[in-house]
Amino acid sequence: MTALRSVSNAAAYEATRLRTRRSTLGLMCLAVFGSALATLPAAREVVDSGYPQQHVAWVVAGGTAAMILPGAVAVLGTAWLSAGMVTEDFRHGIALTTYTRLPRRGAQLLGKLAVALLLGLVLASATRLAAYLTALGGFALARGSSAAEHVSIGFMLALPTPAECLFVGFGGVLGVLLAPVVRLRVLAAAGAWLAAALVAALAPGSRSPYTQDAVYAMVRLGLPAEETALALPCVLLTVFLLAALAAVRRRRID
Amino acid sequence: MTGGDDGRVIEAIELTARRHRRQVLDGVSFQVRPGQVTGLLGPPGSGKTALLRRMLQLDRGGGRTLFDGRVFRSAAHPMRSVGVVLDPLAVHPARTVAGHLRLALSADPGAAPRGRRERIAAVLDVCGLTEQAKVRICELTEGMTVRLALAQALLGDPDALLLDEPDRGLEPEGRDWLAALLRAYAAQGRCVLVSGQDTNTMVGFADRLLVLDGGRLVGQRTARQAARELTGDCVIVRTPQVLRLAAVLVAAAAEPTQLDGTCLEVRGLDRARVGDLAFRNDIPLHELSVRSPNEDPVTAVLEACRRPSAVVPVQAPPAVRVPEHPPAQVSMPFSGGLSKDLDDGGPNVRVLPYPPAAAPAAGSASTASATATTTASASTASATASSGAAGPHAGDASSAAASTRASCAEGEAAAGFESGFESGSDFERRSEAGFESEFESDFVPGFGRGSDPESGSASGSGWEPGPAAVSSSPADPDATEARDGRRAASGQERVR
Repeated sequence: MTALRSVSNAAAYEATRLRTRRSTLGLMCLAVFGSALATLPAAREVVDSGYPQQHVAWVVAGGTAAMILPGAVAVLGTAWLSAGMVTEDFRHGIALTTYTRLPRRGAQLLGKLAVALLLGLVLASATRLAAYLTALGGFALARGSSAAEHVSIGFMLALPTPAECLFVGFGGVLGVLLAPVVRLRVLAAAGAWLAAALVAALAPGSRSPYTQDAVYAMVRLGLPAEETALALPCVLLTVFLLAALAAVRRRRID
Repeated sequence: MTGGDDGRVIEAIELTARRHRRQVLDGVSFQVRPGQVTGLLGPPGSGKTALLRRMLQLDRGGGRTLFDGRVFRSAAHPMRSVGVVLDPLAVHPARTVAGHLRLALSADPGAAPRGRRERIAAVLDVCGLTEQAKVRICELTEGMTVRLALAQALLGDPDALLLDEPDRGLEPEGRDWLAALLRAYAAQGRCVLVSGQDTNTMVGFADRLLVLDGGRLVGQRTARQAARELTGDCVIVRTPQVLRLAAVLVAAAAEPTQLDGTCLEVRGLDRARVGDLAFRNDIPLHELSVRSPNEDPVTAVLEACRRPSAVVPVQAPPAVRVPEHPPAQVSMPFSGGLSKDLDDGGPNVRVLPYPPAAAPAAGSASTASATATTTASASTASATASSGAAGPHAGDASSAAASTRASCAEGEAAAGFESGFESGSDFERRSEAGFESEFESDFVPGFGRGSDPESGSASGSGWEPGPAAVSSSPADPDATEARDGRRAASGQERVR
């Protein structure tokens, strides 16, 4: 019971920290802008192809970037903010006060993970909505052309798909777990994004252009491709979780 | 927030910590009692911050600290258990004062049952930061940042406060405010532990001081004692029989304070008197020194306690213990017998080699007697009986003897001291042959309660020091005083 209360207190603390930080809002705006930037060329591409209605879902999902990693921009933003929850502690020496308020380090890490998942959900929704509105505006601007005249975008496309939510949450969790290990927010965010992209490339039904390369790499390493693809998310999470726990518990707080 | 019961005690048990392969804490154990401010005093690098960090389990190491019977990590509500200030400047500079406190309170929302805003407003009011509530932390002065850290520590209304040098960076008027705040907090029956390195400041803050040096707890005292030390002399005594000596000193109306396991700090008596008392009660001394008032008490205590204690305490050989009832026949008088014995190479007293520098430049009889006195007093209790029977002279002699013991313990004249002893069997033989009676001849007769000055024989049964022991000698006082003065001088010279 005490451990559960510690986790919930840690989650509340991290949520308050994110909420009361100006850079959080700034980064969310940046993610929304990035999502729109990824959507616009995709919309132009389908309009130029002549069959925009068939590819509306692809456009709203983010175009080519979404093929590589669903919710690619949201994953990057979530990983950045999640890693920041850890690295900020050690940036101004705030860990000293943080760990005197919440002395259980494992519980605090779990609280951060919970907040990262929640943050991923929020960012996935925000970027999806931004992509939806961008696509709506883009098709409206292209209405003068014959191809774009009959394009209609369903309201359901404004909601993130389950795959997007999963990958964005996964990216956030990896950001939290990698940050105490690599100790740099840039490296942690980039590593989380790449790991999520690898999982997406090997996921069943993936349309990633890097799927073949990933499978070849698996075969070269002597790993069974299918089993590896299925076990990869769990293996990554377990390894990074143990590494993060060890790093958090052993790290000296100054 | 009730307090005052024993459950609120903070108990540090055998705390150890290492950093960079160096022992920064070495088995530190102490208690912080509720209702008083406990100060942790020590020079920079003595391990104060390391101790606080270890108490809060921020650093790895041995031992444990119990807050209300539980270690810090297992506390149900850490913010309500312990308020901490470790580094006041470890705050996010872009946050506002109120935002910083709001974030801190979010770690334990239950700490503010009447509302977060009210609680934050209350602590800001206590710390004098109400007007700065919406100011960013980077715009605060250092003193205000320290106040903010204190406000954060008070936020959970904790049972205990652990503050690491809270006066550092605080403006001068803020120190009085801090002292009043800490005392008010402790007066509610809560524990307060404050670290610092300035004696005057800590005396102003704390009721009890723990002195830390080299990662070890080297002494503790009340703030009243520490304040008194700033203005008065005191004698530092080191002995393996601390409790016995303390009891003796208390009986002599002195104020002994135990600094560590073997070290006493004595007020109300001068050094010679302390040495006398120790000698008369057969208590070996390893150190007997005076601390001057202008010396920093912390430094003096550290120096006194830092020295390694003597490996083997000097004990009198059992064969020369003073009998309860001394022999009825005592050879008298002083002038003839001893000189004759010495000249004849008498069987009872053997003149032992003595360092030339310490030898008094007196006549042969007084030289011999002084040497014999020093040797005997350092080794046996037979001279104790004599000095117990003698008055102020005995006091001087015992002072010299105690000084001799001290010097021997310090190793300065260890070789000479050892050579001054004979083997145990020799001692036994000499004792049986009347060693004591010959020694008693060194002193002016007639000071024992049962002695007969006329005949020189001990008519009664008591040789214990009595009221007569402090009376002056009826027989040739000038000569005796001069002789004893030389003895004391030679003994003290050896000490130095």
